[in-house]
This record gives sequence, C-alpha cells and structure tokens, in this order.
Amino acid sequence: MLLSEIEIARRLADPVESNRLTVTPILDAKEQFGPSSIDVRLGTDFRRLENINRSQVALNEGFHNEEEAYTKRVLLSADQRFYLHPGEFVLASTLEYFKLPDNLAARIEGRSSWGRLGLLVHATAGFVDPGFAGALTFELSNAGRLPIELRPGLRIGQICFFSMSRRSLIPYGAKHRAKYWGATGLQISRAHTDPEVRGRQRKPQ
Amino acid sequence: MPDAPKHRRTSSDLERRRLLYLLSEALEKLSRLQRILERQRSFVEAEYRRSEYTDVIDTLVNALASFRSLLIQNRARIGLFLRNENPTEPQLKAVNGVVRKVVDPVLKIHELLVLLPRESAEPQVFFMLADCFRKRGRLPASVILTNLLSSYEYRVEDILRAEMSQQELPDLKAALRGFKPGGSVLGLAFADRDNPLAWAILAHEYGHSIDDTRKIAYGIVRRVRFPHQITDDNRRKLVRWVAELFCDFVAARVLGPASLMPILLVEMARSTLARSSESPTHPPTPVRLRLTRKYLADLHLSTSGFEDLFEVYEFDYEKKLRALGATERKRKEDVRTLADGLLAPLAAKIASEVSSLRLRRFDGDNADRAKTLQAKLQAGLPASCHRRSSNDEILTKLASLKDKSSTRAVYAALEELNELPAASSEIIAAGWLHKLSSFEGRLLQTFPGRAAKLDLYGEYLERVDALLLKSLELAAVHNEINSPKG
Repeated sequence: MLLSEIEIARRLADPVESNRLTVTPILDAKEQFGPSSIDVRLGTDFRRLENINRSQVALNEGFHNEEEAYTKRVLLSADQRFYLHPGEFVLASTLEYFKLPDNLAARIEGRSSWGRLGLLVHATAGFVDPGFAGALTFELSNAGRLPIELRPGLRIGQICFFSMSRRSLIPYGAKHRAKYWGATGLQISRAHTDPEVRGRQRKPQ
Repeated sequence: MPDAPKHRRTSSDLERRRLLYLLSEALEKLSRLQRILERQRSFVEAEYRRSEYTDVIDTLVNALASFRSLLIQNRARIGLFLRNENPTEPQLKAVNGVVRKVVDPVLKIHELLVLLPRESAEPQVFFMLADCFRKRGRLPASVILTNLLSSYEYRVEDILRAEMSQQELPDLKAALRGFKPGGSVLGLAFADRDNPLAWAILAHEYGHSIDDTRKIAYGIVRRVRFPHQITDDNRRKLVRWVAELFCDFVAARVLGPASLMPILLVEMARSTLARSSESPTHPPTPVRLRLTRKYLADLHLSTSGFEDLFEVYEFDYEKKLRALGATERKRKEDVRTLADGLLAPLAAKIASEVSSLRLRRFDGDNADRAKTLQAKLQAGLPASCHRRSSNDEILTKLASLKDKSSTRAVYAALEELNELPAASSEIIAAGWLHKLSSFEGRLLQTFPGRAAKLDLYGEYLERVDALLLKSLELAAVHNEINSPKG
C-alpha cells in the first residue's frame, strides 16, 4: 500500500522505534511533502567519470581501484554549483539520510519539473529495501541538450513509501551482502563483491 | 566551578583510565594511517599500474602490520586488563609497555606521510570554521594537511619574509613592497583529515589568525605594569604565552569544553614531557588547562562528560614529571609556577578581549542540544538538526486532522516535522561526548577475551567520522537554504 502524506508523517514520529521512519533533515515540510511522497534534495558529494585513460569497465581484480580512479570525487560547499553537461553521467547523493523500518519499502523518482529539463535521477536503481539506512545514491544524467546547473539542496527527486503486508525477515541491514548499508554519502559500485563477478575474476579470460 | 569528580580516585584507577585512552589512541592512529595508505595505494595502482610506485606505501603498510601483530600477540593480556576493574601493578606495566611500543613508532610513521602525495582537507573543515566564526562565504584562512601531529598556524607573508632573509636576496625584499597579506594557513595532521573531533584544535589555531591581525596579545602585555624590569626576551615570551591562552579561550568560547580534548590526547600520546608541554612559544599545558577550565566555569558552562579526561590528563602529566631527572623536573616545575603567576592575573583581561570579538558563543543551550545530538549518534544517525516539537506533539496534531480538514491545517501539522540546523559546535561537542562514552565498550568488543578484532575498532571510528562529516555537511546546506540569500 502506498503511504499518503499523513501516513508518512505519522511514521516519521512513530513512538515505536521498530516502526519509525527517519528522513533527515526535513527543512521545509510545506514544500517537501506531496500527496504521497517527500521531495528529496541533492547533497554535496559528486563523482564524475574520468574516461580519458580507461578503455572499459572491466570486472577484473582491479575493479575497485579502477572505479576509484574512474570516478573523480567532487565535494561542493553549500553555495557552489555543479554543471551537468548533455550526455554526462555522474553519481551524487541525497542530502537526506534515511532509515526505513523492516515493514516499509520505498522508491525514489525524479521530479517532473527537472525531468522536463532532461535531468534523470537514476539509471535503473530506484528501489529501496525495507531496513535500509543511509543516504541514497543518485545516478544523474542529462538527457537534454544544454548543461544543467545544479547545487546542493535542490529538490531534484521524490521518494514514496510502501507499507508491506508483513515485516521482512531479511531486511536490508541483516541481508547476507548489504553492500550499501549505512552510507552517509554516495557509494561507488561494489559489483566486484558479487559472487558471480568474483567467480569470473578467478577464471582467466 | 567545573563539575568536580564525585570522589577522589586512586592512582591505579587513574592509571587504568590513562591506559584505556592510550590504547584507544594506539588503535585509532593505526587505523587512520592504514586507511590513508589504502587510499593512496588505490590511487597509485589505478593511475600508474606499475608496482614499483607502491613500494614506499608497502613499506609503511608492512610497518603498521607489525604493530597490529604486536597488539594481536598481546590480546590475552589486553583483554584481561580491559575486564579487570582493579588490575595489578604488573598487569598495568605490561599493558603500558605494549601500548608504548605501538604508539611511539606509529607517531613516527605518521611523520613519514609527508613523502606521499598530499591529500586536501575535507570541505567540512571550512563549514565548521565558518560556522563557529560567523564567516559567510570565504574563510580568511586555508587548511592544509601536514606531518606534524599537533596543529599549527602561520601567515604566508611571514614565511616568505623569513625565507628571503635566510637566503639573503635583497632584490626580492624590494619586490615584496606592496605585497598583500595572504591570510593564515592552518596546519592539520594527516591522520585527522577525516576526523572532525580533532578539528576542534583548529578553532585554537584560527584564534592565532585573529590575534595576528589585531595584535591582541601584544596589546595586553604592553599594558602590564611589571613590578621590576623585564627583559625583551621575557616580554616576547609572555606575548606568545598570552597569545596561546587567548587562543584557548577563543576555542573554548566557540566550542566549549570539547575544544580542549585534542590537545590533551596529543600530549598524553607522547611518551615523555620533553619538548612537549613547555617551550618558549607555549605555556605548560596544565596551566592552560586550569585557566581554560576556570574560563568555562565563568561562562557557566558545565564540563560534565569531559571531566574524566581532564583528571586523567593531569595524572599523566604528573607521572611524566616524576619520571624526569631532578634538575629537569625542577625546571619544568619552575616554568609552570612562573607561567601560572604571569598568566593567572591576565586571564580576566584575556577573557574580556575574547568577549569583545562577538564570536558565536557556545552556551548552556548548545551544551543541552549537544546531549540530544549525542543520542542521535548513538542511534547511528547523523546529528545535524533537531525538531522543536516532540513526537507526541506531532502525533497529536496529525490525529486532529479529519478527511475534511483544510489544506492549511494539514500543512500546519506537517510543518511540525520541520527541523532546525544544529550549530557545528553542537555537532563537535556531541561527537566528543559520544566518543568519550562509547570507546571503552568498543575496546571490549575489539579484545573479546582470547581474540583480537582490530578491524572492529577501525569500523567504529570510520562510522563516527562518517556520521560527523555528514552532520556538518547537512547543517551547512541547511543553514545555506535557510539564509535569506538561500
């Protein structure tokens, strides 16, 4: 069941900790709350792709180091700007930190005003598991034909919540391989920790 | 007066606490240096793809690994010590020996990081300083990472001039005419790049920047009427001592008792008093600590939660003093008496100069909010803001809404969820309170009986760092958006 704004608000103040939803900070509820969602803001942390000396994204044993070098970190101050050029893909994070109880799932989406400018906030991964805690990573890209000026604090996305029919028995934090739990900023891909990727690393090409 | 400890503790109790702090420092420095080196290795390997570039990093990593091994070999001894409220003298000696064998060389390895590519300071440093010193926009100071474990401050133009006189290049002196002052540079230890708790020391260093610009310490000393003739050398020394105390008071005014924590831990980590707490530029730390605590008490600021470290630091100092030879000890004691005699009568004047700066004062409300934020950190959440309304008040308002409630009523209820940004000083104070109340428990988890899980302590530090960095970032953006310009 998709939660309404009042149900989201109730969850944010729930006296029972195991039911409580955390979305912090809420700067301006009047602006941020929609009928069934809360707008989320852009954080200060970005990772831009550096591809001049990279031939491919290779799932080899150097993957993690490659990713570190392939994505250059840019941390803005609160009043600085970031220009996202047409066709460019960058990682960023929500300003907000989330903590979902074991009986709520969520989905992050773009806002239509920004979508109309060509801004996409995720490539394919907008689903948030119950039990997740952390800031969410945006996979930003500009599908338009002009650069888009971005700065921390802009409401570029929205998140909605789904109440589950029963609590998850393997919420994200307890999951066998919770790769992004507790992240306070954007996280680069940890695909190299997936067993099928690690298995492939062992076999010579 | 500062909150006094409930009862006088025995020396073995204080020695146990001292070793707990030292063990935590040993693990912390090991973990932080390891993190820096791993980052450097990732960078170098990905950029150059040639193993020889990582040789220097590997050498340092191997050295750190040997100190980790030393702790692991002594895990049973350390575990026993951690679980024993009344350790015996030989137990204390043994643990002290192990910890010293780790701390001393690890501090030296830190100094070698100057050989590696230099990372830049995290932007949250600037958020914090700008917030503490009410500077919107650019802070008139730079922050660089450096190899000295204690921080420092210098002015670029002073260094330029000094270099030039050394090199005897009179032509360049002429070129300096019309040189515009470039502002202060604050040095921060490499190890503390990601550690906002250690940044508290930068508030002291920024005080030097204020003093350099306004010549406050010089002005105070110039107005002193000495009962007897004073040499120029002694007058200069007094100006430096007054400047240090002025900076301690500046830091205490903007950050409260948390401002004292990094300097005390840095001093405790050193094995002897030699060259540590008394030099021509710095009055002995116990004098600074005593006068700053009195200043905090005059501001009606509680030091509850910080008292343990104050007391343990004093114990550590006395222990190191006793370890010196008679002549050296006498010299240290004489300097302490002299510094106290000179600075105590000037403390009120220094405090008045600090008040006149109209800095953002850390007051009782900030201290209360820091305690609320500490609870957030303990729950694993960022500590960047607080709500005016309690959960009960919010739920009551929400419950009063009906299907036909007006939009205005709905928004009024939702707005109860709005959060107010925390001051950076509250975040730093909350971080210290959290650390001081949680590190012993983490040490117990790190040495659970016969095992040693050193990575657990590293993960704990990394988590606290990440939450504090996120908190400072959130508060800065929150403030920017709430500002009239935002």
